[in-house]
Amino acid sequence: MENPSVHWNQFDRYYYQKRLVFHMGWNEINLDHYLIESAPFGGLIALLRDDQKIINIKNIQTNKNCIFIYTCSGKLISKLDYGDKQRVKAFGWTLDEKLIIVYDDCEIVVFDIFGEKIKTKCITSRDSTVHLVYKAKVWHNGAVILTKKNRLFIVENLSQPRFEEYSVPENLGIVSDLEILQPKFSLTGHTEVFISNLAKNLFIIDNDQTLEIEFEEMITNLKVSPTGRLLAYYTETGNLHVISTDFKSHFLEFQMNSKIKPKQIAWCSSDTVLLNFEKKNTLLMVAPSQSFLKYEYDEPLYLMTEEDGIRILTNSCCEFLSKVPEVVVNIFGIGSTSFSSLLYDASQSYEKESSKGDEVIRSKMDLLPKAITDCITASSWVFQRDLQKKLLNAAAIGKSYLDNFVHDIFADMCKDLRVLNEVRGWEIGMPLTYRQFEKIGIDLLIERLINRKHHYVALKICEYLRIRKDRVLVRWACEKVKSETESDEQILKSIISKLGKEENVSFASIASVAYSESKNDLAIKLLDYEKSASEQVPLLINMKNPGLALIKAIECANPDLIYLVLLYLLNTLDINENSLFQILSHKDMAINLLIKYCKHKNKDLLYRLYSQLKREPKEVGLLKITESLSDKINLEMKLKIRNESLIAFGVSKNNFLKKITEDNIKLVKLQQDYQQRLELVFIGLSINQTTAKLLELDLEKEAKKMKKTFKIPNDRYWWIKLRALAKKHRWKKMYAWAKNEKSPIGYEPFVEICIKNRVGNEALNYIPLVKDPYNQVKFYLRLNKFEQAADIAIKEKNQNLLQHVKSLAPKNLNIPSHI
Amino acid sequence: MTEVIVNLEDSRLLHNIQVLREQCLNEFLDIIPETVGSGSMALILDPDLTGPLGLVVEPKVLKQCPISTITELHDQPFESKDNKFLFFVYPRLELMAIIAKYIFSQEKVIPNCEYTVVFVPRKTMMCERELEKLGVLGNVTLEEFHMDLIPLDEDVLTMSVKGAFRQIIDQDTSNLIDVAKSILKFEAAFGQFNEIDWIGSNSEIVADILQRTKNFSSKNNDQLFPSQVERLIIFDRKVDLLSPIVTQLTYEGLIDEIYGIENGIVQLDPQVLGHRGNKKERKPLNSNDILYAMIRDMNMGKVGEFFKKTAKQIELGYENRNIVKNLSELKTFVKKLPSLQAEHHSLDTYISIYEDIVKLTGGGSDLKKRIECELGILGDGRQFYDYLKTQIWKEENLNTVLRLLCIQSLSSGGLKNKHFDFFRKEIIHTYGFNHVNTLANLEKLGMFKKKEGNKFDQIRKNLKLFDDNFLQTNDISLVHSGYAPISIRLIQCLFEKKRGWESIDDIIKNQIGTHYGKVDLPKSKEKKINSNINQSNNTKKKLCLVFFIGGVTYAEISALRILGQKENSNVEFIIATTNILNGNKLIQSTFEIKK
Repeated sequence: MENPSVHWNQFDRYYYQKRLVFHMGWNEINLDHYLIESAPFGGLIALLRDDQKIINIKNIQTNKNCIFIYTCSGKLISKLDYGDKQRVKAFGWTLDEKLIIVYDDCEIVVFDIFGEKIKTKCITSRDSTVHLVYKAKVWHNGAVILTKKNRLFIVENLSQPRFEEYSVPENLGIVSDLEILQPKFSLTGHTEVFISNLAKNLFIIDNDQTLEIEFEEMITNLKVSPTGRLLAYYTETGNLHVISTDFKSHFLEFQMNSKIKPKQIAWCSSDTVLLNFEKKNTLLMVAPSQSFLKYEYDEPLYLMTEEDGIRILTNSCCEFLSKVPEVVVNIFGIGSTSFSSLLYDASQSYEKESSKGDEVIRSKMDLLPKAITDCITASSWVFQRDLQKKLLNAAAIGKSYLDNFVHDIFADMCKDLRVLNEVRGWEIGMPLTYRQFEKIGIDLLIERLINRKHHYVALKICEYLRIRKDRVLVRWACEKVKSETESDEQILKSIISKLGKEENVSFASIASVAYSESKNDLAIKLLDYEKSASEQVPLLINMKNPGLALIKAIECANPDLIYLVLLYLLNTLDINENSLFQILSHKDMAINLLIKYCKHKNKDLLYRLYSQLKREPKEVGLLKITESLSDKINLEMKLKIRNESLIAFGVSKNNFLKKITEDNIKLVKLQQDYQQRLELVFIGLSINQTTAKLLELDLEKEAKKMKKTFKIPNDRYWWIKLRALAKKHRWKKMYAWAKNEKSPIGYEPFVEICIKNRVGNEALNYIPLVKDPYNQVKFYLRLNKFEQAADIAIKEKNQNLLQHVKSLAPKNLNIPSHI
Repeated sequence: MTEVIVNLEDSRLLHNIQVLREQCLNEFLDIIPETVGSGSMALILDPDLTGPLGLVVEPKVLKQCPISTITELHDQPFESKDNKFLFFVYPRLELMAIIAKYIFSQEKVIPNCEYTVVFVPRKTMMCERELEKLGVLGNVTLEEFHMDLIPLDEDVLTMSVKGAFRQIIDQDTSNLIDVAKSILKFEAAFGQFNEIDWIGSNSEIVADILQRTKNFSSKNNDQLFPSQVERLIIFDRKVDLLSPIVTQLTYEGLIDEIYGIENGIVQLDPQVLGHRGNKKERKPLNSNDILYAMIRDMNMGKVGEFFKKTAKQIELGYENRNIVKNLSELKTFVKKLPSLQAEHHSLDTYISIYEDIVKLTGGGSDLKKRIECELGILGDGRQFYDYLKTQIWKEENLNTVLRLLCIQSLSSGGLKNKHFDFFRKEIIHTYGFNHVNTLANLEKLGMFKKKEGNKFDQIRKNLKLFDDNFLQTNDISLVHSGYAPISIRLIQCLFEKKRGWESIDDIIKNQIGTHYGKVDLPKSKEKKINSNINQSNNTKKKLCLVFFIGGVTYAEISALRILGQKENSNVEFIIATTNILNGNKLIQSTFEIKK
């Protein structure tokens, strides 16, 4: 095997290698006829026919309005129809390989690679004028649009697109080039826009200011480096400059003395600039030290700047140009004496069963660990599998001399390389370097594979690396559902056999695809496997299956979901409530929630609901009473509603409630009458309070009428009257009453109420009328009438009681100590 | 807001219980911006939220937040100089209109203010739609503050939902999902339960949610550390509506009955404490005060004795040979000891409260008479219709009348037709027509109804609901001076009967008339290992969480503590509840609020 270093070019202080990655699989593609954009990280290539080139293509009619999407190996993925109404002004890729298109009317659309619209965003202005695109530029997560009326719009986050407008200087004039500095690179965190014009100006515009720099000559090309730190620009007289993007430092001026404008400027390894001169098919590479290197081609080129090198696309092949890392130079460099190189050589001699290697390795054991890691690192850079194998073999042999070498880096590299080799194959055609792989991450790689419908490979990678595979399976199932050749049963069976035992699988999202494919039965069956009700219910509603949706919502007792179904039913079935009641029958939880809602919002429905549910009419009556008690309605209305409740109580033969409500209606009418006659407030009082108020006003006759009308028991009436008299301090009247009529409630209440009102002398009137002598004594004692208390005790012949009285009485009182 | 919230750092039962509060506090601080920028910010609270929030956020923490105004949300427009507004609300539909009103009136004063509505514990679709309908959804940012279970004490957690019992009346199940979520949150903090029992239909719904969740995450519940709390019991308040309306006769229970405890704080007239002035004094009641922890679960009849004993100890400790004869001497004595002022101050406070309670429950008092009636009904099945009648005629407090009437009804399977109609008429005539609904609600709950056969006598016998010797036996019945709450007896059966509730299946199903069950939990290997560890470590009692849906009383909490502290018991209890309940609050929530 030849030494890899034979393919290296020494340039500036480094070695560079241009590696052939693929021979293109496409036929008859001439890059010259197309506008080209490729996704970074070895991503897909989009070709749009350049209508400024006059060419003769056979299929020009059939392929009109098409963007061709190819892999880096030139395999056609799809022809994306972008529509015939608008013209494409700019296009580009997201990191997960969705195509971003900016149309001439300022509409931005994100497509998946098979032409499905994922997101659409258009500038909407109040006066509904259409903005027309003058220049536009797209990056992986945003776009910049300069309109023909010199308005500048920025979209920064395509997953939630929102237009922001920057103010544009009036002297902008005719634009020669436009470039952006992504928000993640700018100091302000906002997108910066660089615009050069024919008037030799460069404008740097961000969200709140514009900087204007005048140059001696016109700038024709602008290009920001992949790290965002440097800006390369090319002038009309053929000068290439490199400056920092904060415009503080100038790094390079390189005079080409050629007035031919390069088609593209690109960056290799963040410090070296590449110029693509279309007309000469030449690629010129310029280093910071002004040294340069020329590559001649005999076909048109397209350059794609990557993180760690540059991808070169021609009609026939795909190449990758990058710096050779130091670890690799150390191993394969001619005359290298590094220990990693010795280790590699030693491992080779092992293969030849020579013992020389052993001695070499043992000679410098202290350098061995670094040499091993160097071999592992080097293996990550090379593309050829046999060379990877040799390097890893060298590492393995070195490793066997050490007890404590951490095995993981070795094992991880083996795994990662296996994955990388798989995606680097012609079929997938994604020439990811290890560094790019580290940067893009496994998640995004899997996402790309799924997007390209390489479900099987994605799944195997997940299993191989032991990472979550539910995403892959769900997306596979979503595709499976669309199958037109298989029956619903077959589809369901094959989905369940693969996904049935997986955790975290969203069956709702699969069902939702089935539904959008008009496979309702399949969707419902799939939903049965969904574990989360909050996923099931909205979809079932969408599928116009509220009955099942309600059952699922009740199963998880989630009031929000239940209401979601109920509101759907209320809003869509307002003509035919019967179906609502039918769906609700025997679903108490939902019924109770609906009742709660109706009490707030829809009383009429509530009554219909009650009658439909065959609730007791009594409940309707009670509900009406509650309604009638509201402060928000007038008296007339209250009485009307109470009369309605009477009917309900009548129907349910609920005599008590009927009677008590009748009484109430009678009461209110009486109160109305009193209120008018006496000009005092009566409405709202209870029967007791009304009677008491009448008594307080000395309207005994009216009070008696109350007693008769409402059958107030005599005892209660006495209590009411007693309190009324006490309240008005009518003590004489009270005493006369007590003497004239026999109290049914005894005389204790009289005494109590007098004591409470601090009219002790009045109380004394009633104590003799109290039947229980103990109570008599108790009252006398409370009023400090010890002699009277003693008299009672003596009369009752109760020595203990007497003793008790004596013990409490003041000493100076002459209380006998014996009966 | 509370001055003092319970310190949980040395929590005796559940190590780290303060985590629940810290989580809430951190979430709260995440919602409040650190700086306000230009202008100033107002915090507007749902009045129902003020108290519970005080259990999490201390005033001093709130002071450090950049808030210029704190007010409660009321149904009247206001004008404010602030330009940023944070509304903290429970997701109640009627509040949305009030918020909209605030916003419309504020926009007239200062246009384009910032409004954030923070829903506790979760926002609901209905509220969001309501805001949309009111046309303010575009003006507001919606957030959630997941404050659900908050520690009230080291063994009591509450969701502090004011209307929790009302939801039982209305059969409104919408907060049961919050109950389930709070249980899952508890599990996440303290480990998975090995056993989950439930009783009553609301508990069943919660258990079903838990069951579903467990089924779906069966593979994920291998835990690395043993559960701190092994068992969960979910108790539906509807199973036992009698116990909460029986007067609580523990020290803490009586404080709640007489003065009312809200969010762990009692507000007392200064006169009760022998102070001057007319501003109510706030006294936090929790286990941080060792003395209080010792007396709160005692039957009131034993508290005096305890005080005397304590006084004697203090006295001996200070070589003061004077014998303290009565409480007032003790009080003067205590006041003489300035060195231990803090401790003695609290003793002084507790004695003052004790004296006030003794006065209010003394001979001839209404409360005393009421307690006698209750015990007469519950212990001997007596009837007190004449007394009740007179109480109504005297227009005594409707709350107390209804409590006794319901006890009478519940313990005799309802009232005879004649009595039923008579009392209903007397109540409506006396207290007003609106109580037609109150009575209907009580009837719906089965608390006040027409006679239909009496099973209470059987229940009393089978569950030994009454114990005259409670002072000697240290039975849980001491919390009501002889009556043992059915709720806690049932929980006791779960631990003391061989087959738990299955042993008393007939009593639960046919006499009490409810149903019960277990959540089917997947067994994992780790759990077996854990239980082995626990078996070898027999000295430590196991912990059990009891979750009351619809509320629990202080007396019931005391009963569970007594149960846990018994010598032969191998379990202690942590109590979680939707709210703290008592008889008055229960009856109050049967009243329809006028709208």
